[in-house]
Amino acid sequence: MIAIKQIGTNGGGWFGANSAHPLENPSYFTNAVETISILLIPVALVFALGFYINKKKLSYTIFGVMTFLFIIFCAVNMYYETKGNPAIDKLGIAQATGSMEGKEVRLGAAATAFWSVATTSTSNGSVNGMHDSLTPISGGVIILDMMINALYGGVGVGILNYFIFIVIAVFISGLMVGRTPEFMGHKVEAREVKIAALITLLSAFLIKGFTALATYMVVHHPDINWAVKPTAWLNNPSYHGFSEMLYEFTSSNANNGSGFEGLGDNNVFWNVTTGIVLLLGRYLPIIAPIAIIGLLANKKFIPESPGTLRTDSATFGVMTLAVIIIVTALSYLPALALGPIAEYFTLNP
Amino acid sequence: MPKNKRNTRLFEPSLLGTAIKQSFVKLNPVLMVKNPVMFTVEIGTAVMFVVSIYQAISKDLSQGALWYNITIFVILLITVLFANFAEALAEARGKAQAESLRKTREDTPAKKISIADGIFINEIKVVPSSQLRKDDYFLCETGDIIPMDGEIVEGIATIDESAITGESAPVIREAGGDKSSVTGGTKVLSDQIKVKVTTEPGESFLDKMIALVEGASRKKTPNEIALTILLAAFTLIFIIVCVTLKPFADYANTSITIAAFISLFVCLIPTTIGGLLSAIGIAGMDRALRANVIAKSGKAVETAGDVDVLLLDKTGTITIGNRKATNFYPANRVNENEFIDYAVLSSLADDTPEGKSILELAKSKGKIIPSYRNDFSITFIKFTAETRSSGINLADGKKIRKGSFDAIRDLAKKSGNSFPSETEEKVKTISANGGTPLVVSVNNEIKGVIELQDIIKPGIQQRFERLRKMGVKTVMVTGDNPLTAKYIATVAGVDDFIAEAKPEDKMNYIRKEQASGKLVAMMGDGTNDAPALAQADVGVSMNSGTQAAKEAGNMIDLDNDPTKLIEVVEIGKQLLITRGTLTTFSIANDVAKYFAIVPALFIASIPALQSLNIMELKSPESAILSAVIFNAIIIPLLIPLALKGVTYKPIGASALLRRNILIYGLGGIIVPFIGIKLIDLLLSLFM
Repeated sequence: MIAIKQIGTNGGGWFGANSAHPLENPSYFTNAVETISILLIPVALVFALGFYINKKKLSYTIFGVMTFLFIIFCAVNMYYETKGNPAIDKLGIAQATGSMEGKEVRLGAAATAFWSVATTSTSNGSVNGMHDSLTPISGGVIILDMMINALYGGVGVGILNYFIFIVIAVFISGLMVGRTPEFMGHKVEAREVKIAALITLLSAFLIKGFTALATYMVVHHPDINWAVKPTAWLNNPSYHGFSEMLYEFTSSNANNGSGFEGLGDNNVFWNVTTGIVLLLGRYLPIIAPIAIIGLLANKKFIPESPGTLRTDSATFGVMTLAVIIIVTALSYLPALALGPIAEYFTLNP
Repeated sequence: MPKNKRNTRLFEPSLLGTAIKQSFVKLNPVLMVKNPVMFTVEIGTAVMFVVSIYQAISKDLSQGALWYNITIFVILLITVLFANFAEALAEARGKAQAESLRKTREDTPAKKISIADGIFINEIKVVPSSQLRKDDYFLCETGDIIPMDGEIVEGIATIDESAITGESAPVIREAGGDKSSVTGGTKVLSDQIKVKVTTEPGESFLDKMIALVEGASRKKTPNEIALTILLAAFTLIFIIVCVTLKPFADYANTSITIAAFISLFVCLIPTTIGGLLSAIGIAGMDRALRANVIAKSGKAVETAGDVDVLLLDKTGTITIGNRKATNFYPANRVNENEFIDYAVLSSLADDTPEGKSILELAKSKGKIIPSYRNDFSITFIKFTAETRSSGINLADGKKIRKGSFDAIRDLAKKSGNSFPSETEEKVKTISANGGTPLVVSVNNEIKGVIELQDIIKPGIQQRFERLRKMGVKTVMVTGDNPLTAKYIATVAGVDDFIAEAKPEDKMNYIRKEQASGKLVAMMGDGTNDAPALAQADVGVSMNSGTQAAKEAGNMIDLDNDPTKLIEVVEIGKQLLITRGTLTTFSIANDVAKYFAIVPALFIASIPALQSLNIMELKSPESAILSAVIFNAIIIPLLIPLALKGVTYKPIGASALLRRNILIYGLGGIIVPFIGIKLIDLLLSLFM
């Protein structure tokens, strides 16, 4: 069960508390094993790509970019989790072990922070602590991580979201070096760019569109007679409540499955909407890269020349990284500003 | 090459007027819709206009102060106008350039002649050139301006093409062969030619190019389409951002004014590149025109940037025109002085550049060249394809002959003379060093050999080196034997060569390269080049070339300069790079704009977000205004860059990408922080 859950990037546990429950994750040692299992296949898939297409260097570049982001996310989360919660500081309580709200004493703040990034980078979704209780910035980081949804590969789908970013990066950087952009010897033209752009649009639309719908319900129809009234959805109203809703849809779109619990989501609205987001957010991004590959494969192969931009160079890695950060940051910054960022600045004026 | 650059100042006053007028004409939504990014800005402007009017009537202050809304409206309008201005200016410049070429040929009197049963009727009717139709004939004599593009059917003339090419040295054009084309507006300096009109008025290549620049028939190139799609997608993403922001803000109990929404939207969408995109494309064609190249489509210019293989003719491109005599090697037992005398005599009537160069070399060795007299005792023997030699029969019965190694050897053998081994040795050495040996005989007795060498153009090695760094493979095409070809190829630094090339060899080479996925560019002028020009991805034909060649290629070089291909490739690359870097710059700008606008939107209800206001802008209103103003003025500030193009440096793709990311990516993040802060400081003086 745990093996399937962790290695298979499935994430659904037997107990509601998932790997925070002692029977699913009894000790620090099992925690280490389970964390490694989350990452094992997704990381291996990146190398499998290089192995099969005989471009190992491309794999290293992709792995380098992914790991760079992964390490930054981990570092940020560990910093904020081990630092503790400023609100508790104010009460004069020492937090020698960091922010322990919603965490297991046997695992500790750092291990939970690491797990939170690992599980949101891959589309795993298992948890070993309550994400709802993470400090604001850590919560924001894991939401961002799922918005990017391109670190390492999910089991079965490989690096498809990262591939979309590659297509956009190839296009822009191809223009910057004065050549019609090409990837692996095939020209990237209008149709490929169109598909890649649509997928980028899709996640932005699903995540923000539905979060907007949810906030609309909360503000304008708080008393609709559903199993849980919109007024009662949020355990914590205000910014954190916003993060909860944002997290829910981001997680569905990324096929992650974890939740900022604390959201009363077992009712018609949430079950139906997240279902829709899950379906669209899962299958369309699988179809699109295959369509792009199909289009590319039908084009003439162009051998590499010194004027060709190499996609396995560090420079191109940096370019992809920049595209990932700018595209996600640009499209999600206002949402993140109203959720985690506003919460953080309110807690730390 | 300063001779042929027509430089117009970037903001030529005479063009500004037209450009400004056109900026307003282009506000027409039907025209705007072609540019999705700027079209959405125009809609935003219209909304702000309605809001301002409504507010002026209702005095409702829930949307912010009236002056503030009107200011936003005006700035947005200016943003759209700036973008239109960029496009209009690029168009005006291109048009002015083309017009200056076209003007030369308007309403010149033409001496029309008619033809009956293939015989010209010598009756001249003077008509304005505009009345000439395709397949009409006209006559041009010394001092006449050629009224229309055409092909010489009879006669030979020297022509001053400086009006088109800027090159003052006259050129020779004659009926038949590959130099039979004449261009309207050029002047006949001597002799008389009969010319057949090849184009209908208004359909010449130049007319077509003007239409391309004017936009009537301008088609977006594949890369431009792809980029427009990407930009449209970014625009849609920001529509989603702004639309969803409304319920988000409601949830956070913040009211956001319509002006703020529209400002946020306009600042976030890539207006900079959206506004300059078509200007960049037109400027690319304009730059081609400035280099005296007429492109038949924008796509051709763009494809030139992608070219992998360049086919270059040896003569004129790699070597200076023709071979020159460099050395005299007398055979054993022949006095050098005597041998040079024979060489001079054999070349007296030789009008070929090679022949003349022999006389020059002799002169430089202190020989006095006997004057050319119509002496009946002397008979000059012309070169024929049969004898493959030429020479002179002197009064004293001496028969001096000069020709290729095998031709003279055959002559000598026939009369029983042997070919001296040391001369044969010399002939081989000369060939191996890329030279051409010319053997001289007197009464069929071998006297020695003259060495002719190709002079490789100074600086051509560096140009090939530059091309290699761009990733372009150069191929030399020559009629020389493989040995000579190999030598010149090595010295000049080309990557490959086709020796003893026949027209079909070029064609086959192009096909072979294309089959392996490469793009090939070539230059040609003759009718037999036409198939290869059509087959090549970029075919540049010389203006002096035949009509068939001009029809087949997708660009025409008015200067007839074979090295032009290299320039064309750079222009193409520059076009793509300018687009790419400005896109990067435009998108990178958003980071700073977010930091200006997002805190401004929520500061009232979430004071904690003040910490995001890292630029410490004065007030929410000034922050939004600064961002919108910056967004507007960056467009005209970048017009010079868009029109001139980003400098291209052949330093390899990765290095170039690094450089451009640093300048335009990182620069694009930093510049707006500074710009917005400065505008805010300025605004705070008034607010």
